[in-house]
Amino acid sequence: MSSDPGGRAGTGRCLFCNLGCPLQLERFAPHRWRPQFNGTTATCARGQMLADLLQSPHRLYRPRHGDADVRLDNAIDALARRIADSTTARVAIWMDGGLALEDLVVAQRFCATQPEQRQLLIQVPPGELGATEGLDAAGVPQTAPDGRHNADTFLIIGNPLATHPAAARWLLQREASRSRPTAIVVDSSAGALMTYGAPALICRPGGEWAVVAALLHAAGFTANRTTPGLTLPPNTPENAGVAPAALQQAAGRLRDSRQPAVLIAPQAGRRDTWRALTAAAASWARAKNGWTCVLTTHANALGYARYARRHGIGDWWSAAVQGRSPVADVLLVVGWDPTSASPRALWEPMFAAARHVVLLSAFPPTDATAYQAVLPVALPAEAGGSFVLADGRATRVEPVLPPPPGVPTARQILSRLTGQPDAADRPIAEADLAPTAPEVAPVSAAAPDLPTTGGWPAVLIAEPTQYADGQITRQSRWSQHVDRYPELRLAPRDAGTLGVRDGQLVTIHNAQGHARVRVALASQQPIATACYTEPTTLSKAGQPAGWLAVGSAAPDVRRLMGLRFGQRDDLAAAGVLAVEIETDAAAAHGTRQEAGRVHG
Amino acid sequence: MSMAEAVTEVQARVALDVDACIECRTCAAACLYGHGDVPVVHFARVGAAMLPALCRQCQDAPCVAACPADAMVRDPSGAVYRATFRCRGCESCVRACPFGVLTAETFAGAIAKCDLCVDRSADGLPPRCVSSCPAGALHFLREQDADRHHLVVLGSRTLGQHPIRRR
Repeated sequence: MSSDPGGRAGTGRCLFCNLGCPLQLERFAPHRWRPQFNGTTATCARGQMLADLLQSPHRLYRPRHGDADVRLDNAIDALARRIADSTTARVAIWMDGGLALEDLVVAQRFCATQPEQRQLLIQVPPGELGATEGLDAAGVPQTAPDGRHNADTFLIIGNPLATHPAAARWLLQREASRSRPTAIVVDSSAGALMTYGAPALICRPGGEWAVVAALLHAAGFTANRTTPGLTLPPNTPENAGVAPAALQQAAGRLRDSRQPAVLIAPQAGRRDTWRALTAAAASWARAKNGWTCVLTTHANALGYARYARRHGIGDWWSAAVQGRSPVADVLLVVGWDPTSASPRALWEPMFAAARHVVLLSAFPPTDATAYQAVLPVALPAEAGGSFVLADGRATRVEPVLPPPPGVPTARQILSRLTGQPDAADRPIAEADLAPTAPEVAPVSAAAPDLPTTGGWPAVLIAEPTQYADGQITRQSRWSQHVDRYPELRLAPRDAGTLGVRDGQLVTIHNAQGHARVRVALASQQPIATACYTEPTTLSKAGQPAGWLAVGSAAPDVRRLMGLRFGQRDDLAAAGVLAVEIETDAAAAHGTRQEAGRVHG
Repeated sequence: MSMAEAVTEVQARVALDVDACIECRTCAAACLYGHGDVPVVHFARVGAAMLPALCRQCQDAPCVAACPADAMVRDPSGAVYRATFRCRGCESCVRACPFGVLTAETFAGAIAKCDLCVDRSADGLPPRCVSSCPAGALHFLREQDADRHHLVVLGSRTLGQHPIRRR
């Protein structure tokens, strides 16, 4: 244990993303901790919330069964009996990709003994899962972002400064250095990162693959348009919203690069496109003797993806989208809350197919009525364990603080439930984490079409400072301070197009209904997207079909997000939520504001 | 004459390099948690950018002159801080601040005011907002030291690499 429970300091790592920043806490009151900054440890706002969350009064400290508190031992024993009573009991376990590998191993060993009766799924955002698969498919090792300092060109895909602010520490230092490498940025936001792009290719959401494919083609890496894993329709850059001249300029710089670095922060998008994108970009970097780093918001996304491939474990998003609901007597959801993190249309059928749904979580779920029981567990930073972080190697992370008294780790509960008393302490086999090359099927690089409903094609996405879709971080004082007033965050460029001012009260519409929200302009906001912020809402972007919005505490906003799910093709069509924005003045006259499409 | 009266200007200030700020709001989070959940650093929209609004620690501080309760006090280091038990939350300082840094929101009846993390300065450490900034956009320095960082002083307390534009 790196912390001193009776002392004044705790050290460890923040595990809210795969950067795994060093973290030092200081005790300033009997039960209060805060980040300590000594010049060598610095985390982003998410990491700073961690100290607050570890001691949060909103934590779950006792199991809940229905509306009643129950004793932890009784709850675990009752659940273990339910699992063990019959050899025919069907059990499904859904594990969050931000947990330690030891947690996954316990669940996998349990499920592997009776694969017909037991199903294990991991929950990693599709974009992140696809990017990690693409990395391994290209046979390229994951390299820590600060591991190499000799790159002359950065190809940055996504906005790591928004999703991983701590990456700025080395990225901007490199930019400010004497050698000053070229940075080519492909992203849909026009925030601070874009000022470093030379050039910055601002594409529309979901168009990243189209731009990267066209870039690599123009740079001469993919000689024809039908390279395996890459089909390139004509007019690809224009479809993605990027000017051909800018693309040619960027391609020229890629061609001239001697040692490039590829940095990918897959915040949103389809799994197959991010897989193809990463495979292509990483292959290009390898051919140029460069390096590639995938930044994920789930700390263990790479480790979970590799372990899952090795053991044939499926992923939750694919199962949900394809309607493969596990029929289970007991469904254990570990470390994440589908009622917060995904559309009701996805989790509800899966919950309905289970007789007993149990959540293992550090905080109460968004919809407590969806679970028969909720058991408290330690946060990953309290449990420690093995993580495959940004350097691509399995790292043993020590807990920053001990869990609250009486609160076990997820693997301790899983060990008891599955009758594996010593499973939690077994080391992870290296072979289980060795990269295996998944197949990369050809994926069209055509940019997805936006809906032609006549309204403004808004895509509701998550606030990048949220972790676990806000279910965890929204409990912090900081999150509650900055998101006190629900607002619709827009990029200034889009607001200008729509004629909407900062702070203006507007009505947003779609086929499901309407809601009144206040507009806040933010340059970090990706073009053609809207981020609805409130302390109790938001899904991380990165849904299977592109960009989908999910839950909200406000009923009228929740109604707007009520997308229907059916076949995969339908999902692709519903990937972008069209929202019409109506200003107060227009509403007063009973007419909607003329709101043209932002792109195209 | 007391030492506090002798010092009329803070020796070092928090200055923002507008070119380096990535709008991550880490400084605001560090400030909130460092000051017992009282938010002192706010973010303000400047054109298309969202930048931290930081106390300039003015030489001739209007908030000190405006406070009817003498709650705004210049400490021996020259920093202006708010004496908690004197502040009545009358918001005179809020109206007096020419930079809009102080907000009318009160916490336990008092206005939130930057004290340059006085609990850290005793150990020779810079304020939390400076130490936590992942982009290195916040500096704790004297005005004359800006040259050393290859920065141009804009509007007295804001820095950049170019005098009239942001990158």
